[in-house]
Amino acid sequence: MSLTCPQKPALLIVGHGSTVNADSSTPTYQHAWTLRKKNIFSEVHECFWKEEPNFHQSLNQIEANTVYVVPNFISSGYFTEQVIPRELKLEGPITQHQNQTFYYCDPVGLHESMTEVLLHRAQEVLDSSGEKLQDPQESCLFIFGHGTNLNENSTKIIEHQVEKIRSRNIYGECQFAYMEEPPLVKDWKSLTSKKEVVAVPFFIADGLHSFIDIPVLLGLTEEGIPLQTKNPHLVEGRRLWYANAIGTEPLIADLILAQIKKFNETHRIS
Amino acid sequence: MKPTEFLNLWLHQTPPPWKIGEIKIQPGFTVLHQQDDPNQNSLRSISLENLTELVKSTPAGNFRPLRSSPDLPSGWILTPLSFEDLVLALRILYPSAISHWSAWSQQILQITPYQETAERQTGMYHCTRLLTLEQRQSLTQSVCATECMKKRLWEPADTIETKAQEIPLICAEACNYFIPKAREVVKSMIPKKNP
Ligand code: SF4
Repeated sequence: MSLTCPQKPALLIVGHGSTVNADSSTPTYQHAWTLRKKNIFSEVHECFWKEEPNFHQSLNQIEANTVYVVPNFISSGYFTEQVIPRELKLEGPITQHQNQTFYYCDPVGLHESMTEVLLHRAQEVLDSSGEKLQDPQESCLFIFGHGTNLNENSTKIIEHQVEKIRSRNIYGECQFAYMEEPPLVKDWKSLTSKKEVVAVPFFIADGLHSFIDIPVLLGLTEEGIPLQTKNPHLVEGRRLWYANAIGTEPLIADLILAQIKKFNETHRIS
Repeated sequence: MKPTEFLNLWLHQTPPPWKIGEIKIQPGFTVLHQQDDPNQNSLRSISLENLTELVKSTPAGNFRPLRSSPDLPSGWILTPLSFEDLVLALRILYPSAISHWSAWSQQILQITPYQETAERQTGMYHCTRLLTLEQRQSLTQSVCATECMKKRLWEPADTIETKAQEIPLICAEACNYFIPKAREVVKSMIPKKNP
């Protein structure tokens, strides 16, 4: 008996993972479960650069003839362009290995619908606080990233998303800021004059950066002390709502499917 | 033969209970820790989704980076599972164990020498290629032999003793737990600069 149903492809979601932090792989597992339950794929696998199953191990486990590979990364760069193709032996968007065909899709963060996911996350942090913005036009939405050459393309994506959100006119302002390059997160109070601010960290998982480093930079807590106040945080007469990392948003599972759909359209796969 | 076909055949040919790592599998299918008795009322019935979380922590609640470390929490039961769900449970508990065992049994398992794994490392792990053979041997003793239940097939290799009702856990390449340890050893050899 085989698990593979010839009509259905397999999905391989590729994450970074960590050897020291359990939260790093959590969103990838969550999205894998969401998609498993939809019964679209014969198998849904997750694999990680720093955790088990690693890239090589996952290849051995997949039995379907058609495999969609979707990187659960917020942008393209060194990992999606070099490490993943090398480790999974991918030769381009379409790779044939013996009797298996691999379709290598773009990372989730690159999909145009990321704008909706960001806006949804911002609205959700407001809703779950039980408080409303007094006037969205008098408010600022911040998208926070890491910056520096950690990933050369992530700042471009953040800036592109900020442009798109600005054009929607939902918030009076939409700004980007980075942990390690200007405009700096720590300067947020001078980057906007708005009294009400919503901030969404553009990271794939909640971890050191989104849980500890950014709250310190925002002045919400001090080094070594976990964030104790709730949304909205009151900072020098302003109200600040700080969301969880964008990668933990359940809608990311839909972006994985959206990347597959886009891949099929681009490569005329029916 | 595909790994799942291989497992299915083995389950038909081998009398239960079946074992792998720290767990046992009973017909039906039921999966639980070898320390636990399925008739114990106190066992917590969990879903496969819960299992994904369970395997990430030690009984003391610490992060468990290595799925094959001998500290899987006990006190839970998965039942009844279809064959497909059993395969998924085994993939969560011991990633790639079935595919490695199936390939090894069919003599098609690819083994990656340490040097090749180290050459693939980037960034801060780039230096792991400098680990000497002696250092590697001592590290496989202190890490693999004490903290992991897998049998290594890359050098220095272990011998795999097959037991009738047990699926062996096989290591075909140095893992992401081993590599940072290799880095620590290499780094400790570099003399520190005087302040
Ligand atoms: S390298 Fe292999 S045997 Fe050693 S700890 Fe990692 S998985 Fe276990």
